[in-house]
Amino acid sequence: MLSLDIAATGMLAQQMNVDVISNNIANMTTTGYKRQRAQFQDLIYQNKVRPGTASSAVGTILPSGIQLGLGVKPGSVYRINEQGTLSMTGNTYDMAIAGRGWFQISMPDGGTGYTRDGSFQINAEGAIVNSQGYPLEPSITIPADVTDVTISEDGLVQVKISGSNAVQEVGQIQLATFQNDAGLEAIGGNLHMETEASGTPSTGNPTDVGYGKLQQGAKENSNVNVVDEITTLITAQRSYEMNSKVIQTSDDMLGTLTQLR
Amino acid sequence: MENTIYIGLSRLSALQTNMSLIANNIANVNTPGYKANKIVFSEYLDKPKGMKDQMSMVLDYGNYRVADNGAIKLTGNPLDVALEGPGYLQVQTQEGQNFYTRAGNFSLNADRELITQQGYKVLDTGGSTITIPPGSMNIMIDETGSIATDEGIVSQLGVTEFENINNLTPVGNSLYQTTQPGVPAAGTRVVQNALEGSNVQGVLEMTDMIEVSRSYQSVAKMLQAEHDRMRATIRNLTSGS
Repeated sequence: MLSLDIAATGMLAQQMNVDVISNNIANMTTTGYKRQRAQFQDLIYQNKVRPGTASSAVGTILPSGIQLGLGVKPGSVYRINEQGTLSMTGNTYDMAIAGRGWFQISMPDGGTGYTRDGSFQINAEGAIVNSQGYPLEPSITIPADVTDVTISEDGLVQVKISGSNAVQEVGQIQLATFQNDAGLEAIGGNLHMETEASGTPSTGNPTDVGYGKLQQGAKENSNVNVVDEITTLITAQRSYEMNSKVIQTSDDMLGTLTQLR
Repeated sequence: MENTIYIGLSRLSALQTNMSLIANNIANVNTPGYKANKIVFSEYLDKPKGMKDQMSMVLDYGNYRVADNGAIKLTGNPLDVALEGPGYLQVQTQEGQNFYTRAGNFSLNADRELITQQGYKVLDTGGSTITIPPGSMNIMIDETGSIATDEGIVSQLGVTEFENINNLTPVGNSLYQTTQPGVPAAGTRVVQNALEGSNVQGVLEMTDMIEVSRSYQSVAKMLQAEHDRMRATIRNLTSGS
């Protein structure tokens, strides 16, 4: 029976929906996380009677045919790159981007990763690194004997060396932007990689036209909206239930048939 | 004398088609822009040889799409567009084939063209693709479908209305195809940051399903009774001689 298979596609789709929702909820407090959404599309149609075919010799046509849809399929899961709220941490090397742009991270394999997670630290050599220890790009080294580190809105890193009153520049943080942020590939660890769909990155200083500004001592929260996720979860669960009812009913109908003799 | 069985059979097969439609509606209860399908039954009259009266069978004549708008759900994504009213958006495949859709969950490709989730390009009123200028921000789409960024007006979403939406043939992926010429939309409003949900009503589908299931059982009962009657007749006739 067709309805058994159709309901199975519905249950599979809703299962995927719940997978995406649970990942969003699990990452509710992940710094710089962007929520994802599963989108569905109807599957192909089986034409039992094609609309528009002749229904008589005098040229009348059927206004509607019999087109049996064969179910649903996951269309895409995509990221919604809405700005997350900023929360103050007071940590010197924490940075949040307000607006567009991604921090560039030198990956161990020589490539470049992109992240909105601005919780940076310094390593033993004084270089600014992310929480996995991968250095920020372009690399910035903080001298050992500093008393104050200031990162301005436009990404300029200035330090005050102890014993001197002069402020010294040690580097400039740059951001990368993409034509299509949603096309970036997430690789875990809050990192993303460039793809064909994202386009090639262009780099610039924060506060330049088209780039966001930096906020020192803050980090960007995840943009997951819990109320939204829970309501989506409820609809997903209910449609899962309804699909299972279809399977049950189809099974009952088949059961009725087998009782005929 | 098998006529009763044939009439019952016509009902069973029509009910199975109905059940498939209900299953498809329920499977697509979360598909943006999906329209519920309903079945139309018609009577099929047959007058077999040697019979005085006509027999009435049932035929699954066709199905139609319910034209109601689905619930509009705010998503907060500036590239999501819902249509309020009877219009359709036009999209084009890489091969230049045109389709219509009501699923407005769009995104941008690497060339900053507005595309659907399959990568099909969304068309403007003139039938050309829509490109958001590089570097521009704050994409705004107003009620009439006019697209603007912080650098000014960019394009106008092509919204088309049709006289009979049941002439649009669904081809899957939330797309429709038609040869019927459309007219530029007059009564359709474009809502940005929102998606039109499916217009399937779960309660109606569930009650329809119960009805189908029960009718199926009752037809099966009738077939069973007819089968018993025929067997009893044969037994009586043969045991008499």
